[in-house]
Parts: sequence; structure tokens; C-alpha cells
Amino acid sequence: MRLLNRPLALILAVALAGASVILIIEVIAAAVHASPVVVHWPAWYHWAGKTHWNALVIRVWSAILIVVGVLILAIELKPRRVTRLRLRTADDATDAALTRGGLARTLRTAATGIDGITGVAVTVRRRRARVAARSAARGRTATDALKQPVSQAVRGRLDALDLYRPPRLKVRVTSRSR
Amino acid sequence: MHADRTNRVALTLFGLLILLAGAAGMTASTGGFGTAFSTRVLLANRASSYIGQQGTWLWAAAAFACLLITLAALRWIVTLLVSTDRAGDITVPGSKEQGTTILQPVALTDALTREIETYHGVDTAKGRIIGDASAPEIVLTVTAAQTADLPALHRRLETEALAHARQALGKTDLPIQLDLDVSRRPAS
Repeated sequence: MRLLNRPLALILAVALAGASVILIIEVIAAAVHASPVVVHWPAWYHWAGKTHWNALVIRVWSAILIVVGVLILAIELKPRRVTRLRLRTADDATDAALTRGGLARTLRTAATGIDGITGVAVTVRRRRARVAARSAARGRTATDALKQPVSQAVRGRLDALDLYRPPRLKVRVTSRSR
Repeated sequence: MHADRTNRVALTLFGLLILLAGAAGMTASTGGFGTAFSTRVLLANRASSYIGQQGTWLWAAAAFACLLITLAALRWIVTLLVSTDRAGDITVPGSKEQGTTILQPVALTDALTREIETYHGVDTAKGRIIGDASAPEIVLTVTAAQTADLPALHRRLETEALAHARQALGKTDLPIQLDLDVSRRPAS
């Protein structure tokens, strides 16, 4: 978001400065009864004096403005992706947090430590963490037997972190593909 | 480079403005303001008539407003291109009779990260000091090994490293942002 905003902001700032300077130049030129200097605005004035509101060109430009406006607002108002999950701290002046990736990796390490688990994929979102563990053994009995220890290990790790708002945990154990 | 909040506010306002302009144009064009209005030419409205009658002073006022906009836009461009959020040299509070102590931010962050990197379970530590030199804020990123005891490391960081930083600057309420991460490298 920030990386996109910076070039967009630079374009807007340059456009604003440029348009303002042109307007100042043209106002001064008109005040001294000189002809247009940078922009031939009388042509625009005559065009606006003979173009009707219901003309196709007005609808096309209005549609373009609506689309661009909606796009910019969508980019700016979209909730930012959560990158850090706050940790409880002893000191109010400390703003401590665990990164989203860090939480995923520590939960993955906790689940991988259980015997019989061969692989773990963790997805952490704003309010939810999904742990998908794969068991070495095949069959539902094997995966059911592993679900509790995996859940316990992951839950224990999450609780110990003392997150300000811990995400809801969802653990799934599947058997390895045949 | 910063001004991220300014960028977001300005772009939101700009987006809203052109959306409203487009919506107004489309409404006028499709007869939303009356069929009679949609058949008029663009300049046949009260605003255009007013500008036509009050032209002399109104254009002078517009030019002055544009001068202010140009100055604000130039300042914004400079902020976007050359400014930094890093703090300058920090004056450590103390008795003036014994002289003034100036601390370079990099000296503090180097000492802090070196201390943190000696802690058990820490892979790397990075730090920087942001804000005004009179009201600095430390931003620390500590990457722990995958096998590290994160709660214990967090406690140790708070009670030792962060306390030492606050002590060094003589500010017990020094704001510190601590980001704990876990290394992608599997434990060896």
C-alpha cells in the first residue's frame, strides 16, 4: 500500500503544482491583456460554451472520473493487511508485537515437533490462524489420534505468547496423499 | 521517505473529489438535475455567470490560492523525495554544569542490537531511532531462531535491553516499538 501510495502521491503533487503554476501564469497574462502563454484556454472556453451537458463526451469523461475515483478510494480505504500482532507488555511505553510470519513459523515449529507429523502449513490472518498438519500414517484413525496432541501443542504455544488479541485457532490433520 | 499519512489523506480526498465530480457530471448529463438542465451548455449555470461577473478579483484570488497550493505541493514533493523519519543527534538530559552529552542515534542502536544479539535464541537484531531528536522513538526488529523460547525472549528484551536503552537516554517513558520475528531458516 505504502509503496503504491508514494508514486501516486508524487504524481498528484507534481500535477497540482504544475496546474497551479499554469493558472497563475494565465491569470497574469490575461490581466496584462496578453495572449495565452502555456495553455490555449480560449479554445476550451468556446468548447464549453457550445457543448451541452447531455453530450456523449461529457458522459464518457464523467464515467472515467467515476471509475478513477472509485479505484483510488478502493486502494486508500481498503483495510491494511495485518503485519504485526500486538503482545502484552509490562511497560505502556513499549509497543511490542509478533510479526504475522513469525507467528506462523512458531506455530509451525510447535506442530512439527509432534511425532508422526511430516509437514505443517500455517496461515495467519487478522482474527484466525489455520494449522494444516499432515500425518505420516494413513487412515482416519491415525489423523484423529494426532489431532489432539497437535492442537494442544499449538494452543500451548499461542497461549504462552500472551498476544493482546490472539487469533482463533483452527487445526486440521490430514493423512499423507497416496 | 515518509509522509505516509499525508499521502493517504490527500489521495483519499482527491479520489473523493473526482468521484463526486464524475457523479455530478453524469447526473447532469442523464437528466438527474432536470431534463432542461441536461440540454443546456456547460457554461449556462449560476456559477459560470457569477465568475463572469466577478472575474477581476475572483481570478486574482484563484491565482493567490494556486500560489499557496503550489507551495504546499512543492513541500510535499520535497518530503516525498528527500526527507527521512530518522532522528538527529540526541541530547541526553543531565546537569548542564558538567557539560552537554550528545548521543548519535547509530551509537545507541549499535550498542542495543549488539547486546540483543548475545541473547540466547536471537538470530539477528536491527534498530533505528525515528522522530524528533527531542522526542525520539526506538524501532527494533528482533528475529529469533525457530527453536527460541519467544515468551522468555520477550521478557528478557523488556527487562534488560529496552530498560538499558531508556536508561542511556535518561527517559523512562521512551517509546519503543519492538517487532519480534521468527527466522525462516530451520534450526541447525
